[in-house]
Amino acid sequence: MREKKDRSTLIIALLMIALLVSVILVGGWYYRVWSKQRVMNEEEAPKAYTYHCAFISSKYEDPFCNSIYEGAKTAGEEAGIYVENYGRQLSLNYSINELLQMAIAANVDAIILEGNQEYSTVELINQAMDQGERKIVVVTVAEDSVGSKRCSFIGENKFRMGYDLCSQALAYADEEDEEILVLLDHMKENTDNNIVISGMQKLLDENKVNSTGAKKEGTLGHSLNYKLNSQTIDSSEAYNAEEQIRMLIRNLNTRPDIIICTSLTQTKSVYQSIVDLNCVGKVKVIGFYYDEAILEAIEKGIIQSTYVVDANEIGVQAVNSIGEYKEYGYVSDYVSVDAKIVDQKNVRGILQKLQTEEETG
Amino acid sequence: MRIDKALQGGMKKFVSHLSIQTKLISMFLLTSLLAFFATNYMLTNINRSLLAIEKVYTSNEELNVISEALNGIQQNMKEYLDSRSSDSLNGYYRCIQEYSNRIQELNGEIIGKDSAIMEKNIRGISDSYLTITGEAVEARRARDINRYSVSYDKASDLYNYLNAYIFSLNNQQFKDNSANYANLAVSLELLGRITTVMNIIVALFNVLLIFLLTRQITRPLKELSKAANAVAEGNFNLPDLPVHSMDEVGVVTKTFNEMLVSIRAYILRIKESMEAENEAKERELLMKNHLKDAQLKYYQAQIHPHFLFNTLNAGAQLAMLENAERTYSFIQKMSEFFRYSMNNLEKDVYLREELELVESYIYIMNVRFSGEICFEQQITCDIEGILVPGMILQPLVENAVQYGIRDIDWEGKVILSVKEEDSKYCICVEDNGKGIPPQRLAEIQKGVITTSADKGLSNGVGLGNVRERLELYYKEDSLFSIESEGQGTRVYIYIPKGSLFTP
Repeated sequence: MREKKDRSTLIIALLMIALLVSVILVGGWYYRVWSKQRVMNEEEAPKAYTYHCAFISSKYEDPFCNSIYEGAKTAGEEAGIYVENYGRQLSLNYSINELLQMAIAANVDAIILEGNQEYSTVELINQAMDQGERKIVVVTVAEDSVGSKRCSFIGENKFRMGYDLCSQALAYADEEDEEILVLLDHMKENTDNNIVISGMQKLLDENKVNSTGAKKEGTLGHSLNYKLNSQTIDSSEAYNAEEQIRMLIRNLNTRPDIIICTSLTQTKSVYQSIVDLNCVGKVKVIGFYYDEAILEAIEKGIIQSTYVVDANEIGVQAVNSIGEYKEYGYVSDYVSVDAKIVDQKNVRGILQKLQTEEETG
Repeated sequence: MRIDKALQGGMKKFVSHLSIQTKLISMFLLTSLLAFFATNYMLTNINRSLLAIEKVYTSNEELNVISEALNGIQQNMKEYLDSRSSDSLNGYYRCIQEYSNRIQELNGEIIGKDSAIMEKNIRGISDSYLTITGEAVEARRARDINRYSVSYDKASDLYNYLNAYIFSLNNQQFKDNSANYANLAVSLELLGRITTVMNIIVALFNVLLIFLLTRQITRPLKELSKAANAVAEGNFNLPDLPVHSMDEVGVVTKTFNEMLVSIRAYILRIKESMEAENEAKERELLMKNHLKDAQLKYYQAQIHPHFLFNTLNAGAQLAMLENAERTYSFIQKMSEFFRYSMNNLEKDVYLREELELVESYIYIMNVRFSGEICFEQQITCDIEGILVPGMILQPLVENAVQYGIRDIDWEGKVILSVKEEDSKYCICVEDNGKGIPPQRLAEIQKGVITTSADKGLSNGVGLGNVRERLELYYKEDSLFSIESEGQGTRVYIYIPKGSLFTP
């Protein structure tokens, strides 16, 4: 009996020692795991990619550009192409050309570029494409750099865009409206702007309305004369665009009845100006692309509708083009993406989706 | 299996032979080792964390060195382009060497991590920068002003980009490292808490462990003190205390057990000797009682024998004078019989003398009853030298004559036989008389009736007296038995050979 008791005491003592050692080891292990997760900030090993692609844009904060980047990045993850928002990590702001120079010097594998018509940009694109074995594949998105050796351009059909924008303007026009003003971006190629105007003109012709003030007898609009004017807005410098637009609206002589925007910056500036200048209802606005404020404005009726290009798709197509070029050595020169109109009928769903995305991060 | 058991047994033996001092030292060492292990383990973790804290800003330091080397390249290149001095050229190459070495340590792979991609960009731009600075220096050597000026401009641009990149990366890493530093500080604080909790747990465990193990040592002591108290109160019939170890307590317990056994044995011996003494005294008293009882009976009868004895002597002389031979013989036998009876009751006598007394008695009885008693002796062994208590046979024969064959219609016969049986001599007195009724026989066997002789018919010594004297002399039971089946009675007396009564 006693021996049994002694043995159980010994077993208890041994168990206690084992438990103590376990507690110490578990404590140490817990600390290490905790410090690894929290302190050392050691995440899972980052994914390795085959190609390094620089995404270069003049406006990183622009939702349109951001959507393109996000689309490209997501598509790149599947295709083994790391898409870097080039220059975003730098403390200073650099121009597109400077970023291009950096990317070329850094010897990236590809560049997705929001093109422009500057000669120096074209030169740099050509320099990248002419590096022989170290050739850097350049794909322009949203805006093209005509005349450059870029391998592909991904963007909306400008003619179609003009046509659709104008059809929206006519859809919301009433009998009192006379002047339609198209705001054009000076950064964009003249050709592009011209194509947009052509599209609008085509619609007006179809409806027998023209810029000289012909009587409308077509399927759209009312039996009134419309004047189609255009204004180039310089958005190269900060606040420039907004100031110009504010001046346009404030001046009763230049204030149009309908404003058609061709960039998101313009749309936001117009919206802000007509609210500030108490012109809601007096000026009808056909916007370009959207952010949350613009969608809310559509919901409230301040902006009538907005033309939305599938920016995400542009990014995806850009990465696909790079992949194809890397694989086959050639790719389509131009890839168009779809667009849609957002107005009061469908704005609620998009707004909710956007808000949900913001909440979920 | 057997080896295991042997090892286990050996281990158990080894542990049980450890002294208390060794056990206590082992316990102290064990608990100290546990505490040491816990402290050391946590200290290792603390050291590791401190090392991590020390390394937090290493990457920033590396980038600063890279930046300095880059500045050195740019300055030396500019100086060389301006002055073509060999010092600046040497400085340029030295800086390039250092810069290249440092740059090689940066990431060159395409990894989905911002800082890693920035490092890759720095490496890529650095390669281009070094190529262009090389071209500028070469052009300067060749005095190609246009070329080196273009290269210098390009190099300057790249230099600026690199600086911007390094600066940004430095900032980014500083931000990350600061966050890491803050987290490390928090973790160190947590580690401090864990260590404190761990120490408390270890201390509690150690106290519990010491409690458990010391209980092993103190429990036998407690049992021992309890047993000692019981002994002090006079309780010696305690079970043996178990001895589990051969330490000091084990030795004391074992000695205590032996002491208890000794005390018990001693007490038993004293008790036995006292009992024996009491028994001896009791027996002595009993014997004296019986003797006195017999003596008294004989003294009562002594008046007649003495008177008769003297008278018989005178009668014998008278018979001799008158030439009456048979009368003389008869009176002479009677005189001898009474003399023997009177003198030998308290003495030990030879069996032969007892037999002679019986013959005398029969002779007297035959004269008295006109020769009716047929007496026969059957002695089948050597009876010389056998000593017996006096007056043990005559009462038996007298009993046979008085109660057996007296008043019977047929010829009375008494047979006295002596034979040797193993360790005893068996003396049997048999008669063919009327026997003893079963009820009376049972009472005689139980000793209730002693068959005391009728006055005038016997010498007064009964069967009971004979039996008791035999048992007292030889300190044995079953030395006397009596049988009677219908006719005839047999009385047996057994004289032990080995315990012969010595006078």
